[in-house]
Amino acid sequence: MQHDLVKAADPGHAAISDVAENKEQTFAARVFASQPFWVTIALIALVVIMAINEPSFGTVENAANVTRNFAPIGIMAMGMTVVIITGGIDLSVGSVMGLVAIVAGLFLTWHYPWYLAFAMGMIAGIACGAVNGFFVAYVGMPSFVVTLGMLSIARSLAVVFSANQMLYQFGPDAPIVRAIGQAKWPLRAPAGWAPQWMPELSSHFWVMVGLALIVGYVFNSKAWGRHLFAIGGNEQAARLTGVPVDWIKFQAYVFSAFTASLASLLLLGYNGSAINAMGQGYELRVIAATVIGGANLMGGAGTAFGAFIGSAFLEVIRNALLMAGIDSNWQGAFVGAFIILAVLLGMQTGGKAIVAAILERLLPKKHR
Amino acid sequence: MTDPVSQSNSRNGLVLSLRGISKSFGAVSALTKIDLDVHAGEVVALVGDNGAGKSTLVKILAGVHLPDSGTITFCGEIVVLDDPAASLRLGIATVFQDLALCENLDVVANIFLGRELDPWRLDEVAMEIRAWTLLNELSARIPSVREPVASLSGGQRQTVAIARSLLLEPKLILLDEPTAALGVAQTAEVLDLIERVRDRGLAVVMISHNMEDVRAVADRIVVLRLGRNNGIFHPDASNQELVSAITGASNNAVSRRAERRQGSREHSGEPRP
Ligand SMILES: Nc1ncnc2c1ncn2[C@@H]1O[C@H](COP(=O)(O)OP(=O)(O)OP(=O)(O)O)[C@@H](O)[C@H]1O
Ligand SMILES: [Mg+2]
Repeated sequence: MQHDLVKAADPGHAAISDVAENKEQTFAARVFASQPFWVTIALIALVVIMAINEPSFGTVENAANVTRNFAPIGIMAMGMTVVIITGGIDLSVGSVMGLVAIVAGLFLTWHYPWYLAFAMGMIAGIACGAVNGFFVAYVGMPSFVVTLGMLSIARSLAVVFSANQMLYQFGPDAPIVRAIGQAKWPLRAPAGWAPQWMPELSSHFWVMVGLALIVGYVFNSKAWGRHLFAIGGNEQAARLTGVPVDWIKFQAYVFSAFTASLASLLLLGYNGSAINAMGQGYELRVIAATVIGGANLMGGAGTAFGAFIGSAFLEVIRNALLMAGIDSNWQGAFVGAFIILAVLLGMQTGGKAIVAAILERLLPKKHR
Repeated sequence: MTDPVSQSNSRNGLVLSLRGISKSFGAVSALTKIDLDVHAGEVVALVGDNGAGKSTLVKILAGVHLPDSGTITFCGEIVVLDDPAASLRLGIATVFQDLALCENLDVVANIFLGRELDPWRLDEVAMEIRAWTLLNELSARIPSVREPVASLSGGQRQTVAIARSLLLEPKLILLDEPTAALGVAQTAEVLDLIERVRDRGLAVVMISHNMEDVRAVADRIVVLRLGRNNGIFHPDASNQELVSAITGASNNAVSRRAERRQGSREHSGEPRP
């Protein structure tokens, strides 16, 4: 549309536009070059193969399980994507989960109403994010160091606050807390309307989907999202054009901590108890999911859909290995191999994903 | 080559006036008591050797560095340029030596970075149309404004950076070596563009090491040497005069050497001083 406008306004430009036609990446070419696309293909293939070979994999119960299991990772992957786009990293998310669960759990055991307990947990989590953000954005320390420190601090606080006990006597609001964490939709008969083939999806899953839609919208339609990418691409340039770089970086870490808090509260509700070890090692799973989904650790690239699909992919592999009866000690090796493979597949070679480049070699142009 | 004020051959009002600007980085004094006047509709070329302080002066005007002393008067008012946004707000646009583009973003996003249309719900269509309009005004050869800047050539990037500086309709535009990375044709385009910008009544400060380019567009040539003012010249000043001001021919030995070097350069057709 704009091309026509330009041609009309300036006939001398037509020749340039003709050249542009060739160079302009079509929508399909863009999709082929994107890592999330290939991870999605791999995920679908994996699901199909497993469903055919393993009867217990393709059940609605397993589908509900898998989608619930990866949702907390997916939720945190949204926050991690935001941080990674700015060129940073947040290693503290797992520990923040533990601290949030313990703080909220304590208020519940003291018989405060659930919303107050959740709010206090949320405040504790966001405070961790604000400390991260302050030292990274305003003091200028490397995010790796700051969030590594916070990983240690938040976990330690969780242990201290909980007196190393599991918290589960949640007082009068315990049923509400459970209801939030264990809610499902849509329900099958007799409780609901959903047909038998439809999985009852957990509240965790729906929170993740909602968050992914919001994050995706912000990335594409808000100046704030655009500025995240600009900071990751060239922080100095963003500063020179008047982008409030420090403030936006600060907000990125706060948002990451917010997503960790959200995941923590949902898991707290699901378990009906709080332990200070919640989320241990999750930071690596979240980073793996984000990177598999195509976020670039150097900054400047990442998508909400990628974070979603990366988390799903990791969990399906884990679940598939379990179902296939492979010794669980092998899981780490498989997951690690898939991280490397996924990034290799999405690696840009002259603006194309490796897979797209290989396809181009194998198939002559006219067939595509 | 004496008083910076009396030399100006302006047609219009004074846009920028610097008095006694000094800046040091630790022990290095990059600028010492710099005076500079720029009028509307005038191209001032800022020349000087490597390390003379040209980029530092541009960065002070862009709000990147604060001067240690001295006053900046912009459109009749004394201003403090304490961050890049302050300069942009006043109407001082800068094209930096390293262009300051985000390689991962497309042309439209780069042009509108920090001043997106409708920040709460980006108006991509309006931004794309405006970007094409700007680029067409510059006769830019950009295949697509939706390609990441990483896939553009040096000249195309330069054009994008210049287009961005014009977006906010500034009163003063600062160009730090705008032609350094460009081929012959692209250089001509940029020089044309500078003239067009000047004819629209903007004040232009251009830094360049290329005396041909400087002569081609400048109304005045301001020489910096070792961070100090070292004369103001008309574009028809002789090469020898310019070169000795740039390289510092204050005593006879240096002057003779400069002449000798310059003579041999002209002989070999080397255009740079
Ligand atoms: N951020 C900085 N920190 C320390 N010293 C600096 C800084 N910026 C510039 N300088 C010093 O100030 C002096 C002037 O540098 P400047 O970049 O302004 O020179 P220039 O005239 O633009 O040179 P060139 O033609 O090479 O671009 C140099 O000695 C340089 O080393
Ligand atoms: Mg310079």
